[in-house]
Amino acid sequence: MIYFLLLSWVALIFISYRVALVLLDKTDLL
Amino acid sequence: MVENLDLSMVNWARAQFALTAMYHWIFVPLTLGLSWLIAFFHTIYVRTGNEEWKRLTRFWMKLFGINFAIGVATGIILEFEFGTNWSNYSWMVGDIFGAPLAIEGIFAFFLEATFFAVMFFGWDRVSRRFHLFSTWMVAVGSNLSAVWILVANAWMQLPVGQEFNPDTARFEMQNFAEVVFSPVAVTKFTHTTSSSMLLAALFVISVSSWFLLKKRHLLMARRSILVAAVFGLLASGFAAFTGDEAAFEVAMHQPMKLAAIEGLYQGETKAGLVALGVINQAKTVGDGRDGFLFKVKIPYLLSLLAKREPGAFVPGIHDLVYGNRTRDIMGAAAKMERGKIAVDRLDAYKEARKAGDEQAAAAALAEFTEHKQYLGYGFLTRPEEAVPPVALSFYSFRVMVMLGTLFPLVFLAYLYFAWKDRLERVTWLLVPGVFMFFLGLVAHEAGWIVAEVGRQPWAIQGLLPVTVARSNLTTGTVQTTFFMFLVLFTVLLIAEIRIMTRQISIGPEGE
Repeated sequence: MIYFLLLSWVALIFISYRVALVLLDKTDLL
Repeated sequence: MVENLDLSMVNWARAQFALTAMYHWIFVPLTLGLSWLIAFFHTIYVRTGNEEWKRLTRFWMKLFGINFAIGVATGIILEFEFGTNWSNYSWMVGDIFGAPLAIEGIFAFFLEATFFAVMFFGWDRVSRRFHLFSTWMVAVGSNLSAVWILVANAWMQLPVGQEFNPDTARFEMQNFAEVVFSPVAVTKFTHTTSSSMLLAALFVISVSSWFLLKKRHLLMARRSILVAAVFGLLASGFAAFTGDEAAFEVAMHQPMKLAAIEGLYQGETKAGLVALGVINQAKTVGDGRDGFLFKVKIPYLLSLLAKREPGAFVPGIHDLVYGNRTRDIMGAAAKMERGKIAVDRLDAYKEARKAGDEQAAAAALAEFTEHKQYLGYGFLTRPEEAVPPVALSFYSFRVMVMLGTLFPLVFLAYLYFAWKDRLERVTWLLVPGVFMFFLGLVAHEAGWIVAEVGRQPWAIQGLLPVTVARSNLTTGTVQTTFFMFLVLFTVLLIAEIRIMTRQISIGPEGE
């Protein structure tokens, strides 16, 4: 559970960035 | 309620620490979360080369810098209070508690502060790649700082990896990895930092909503909102998940805290969760009165959340104070009896050592060792002292959870209207949106009240009560510094708000 939480935490940061980038692109805000 | 306050030295010291910690926590979560958002913005600028993104990044960086400075100032005072008001605590657990604090200072904070200078002043002075690397290192460094501070706090909740040394009367570190990777530490870190990401997203949304309402910097505001809403939505989901895990850890290691959070006086199987309720302030443990004046319960949910099975038994305050034989729960009263023996035998051991009577010392030590896990309970005067403030724990928890449920809905609404390109027109969302950051702060402070008030009367859970952890000071001296800090922090807060609002109203440079 400890490693799962820590890995998820790192993933949260990079997934947030990627999703934001895709949405910026789709909405012509990039 | 006020007339029942015990205004002894130890309570003034607690109030002073609470005051400092709560002021500190106005600034810190914004630093932790905003550093990631700035790293996102800066990365987008470097990838696109678009000067608009550079302006946007510099604007949020400026607000980050104002906030960062005051966060540091309040944090330093917090660390000094361990020495001034809690010198017995520092003496008894300094070998363990001091290690993560020192690592935070000389490793994480130095890393963060060094790269902060490059991030802030490095525009056109260092290469684009190194500048971007510095921005990411500020985020990594500030969150690494949080790791060590939260490891220290988690150890107060679950004191693992230590051994009491009867010769020095100090707790000594036995296993550093056990302290750092304690399940409470990992849960606390992930929950605290993800809710800080959420708070930073609310901050960006609040400021950007104000710009949209004022019809200024519209493109910057829409871009900021979109990135912040994605980050906030994902972070709030993760904060809910880690919050559930944190509550599970509390149920396992701090059952009295859980019982106080739930206002649960009598243990129950198939225990329900009180969704809404009014605590009966006149209730004391063992008086037979109902703990609630009114409550709405969700059946089975507390057993499910605390024990991971809907039919499980959740111990109540009464069980934990007086014991429950059928459930094999030793109460605080029985632990106190054993704790008194431990305290007495520790004194006998010291006396025998001083007198050079090795045989008596060995006998006293053997008896002490048998009872030492209850040593902390030996310092309590009544078993009822083991109960933390119930009403404050109960209400704070519900404020945190209710606001934590509201925020993802806010992020979803902002995402929807950003996607539909209608953000500027939804004033019904933008007006409350301006104030969402302040609700985020309330949720954060409520969370810390649950964590720290729920641990009372212990400074170190089960090992060291706050009454023993204190310094030998007069009430007057602590009162004096309390009001001094109150004035100082309020001035700092007003200064921050004025500088921040002025910089926000100026907006990004060059427009």
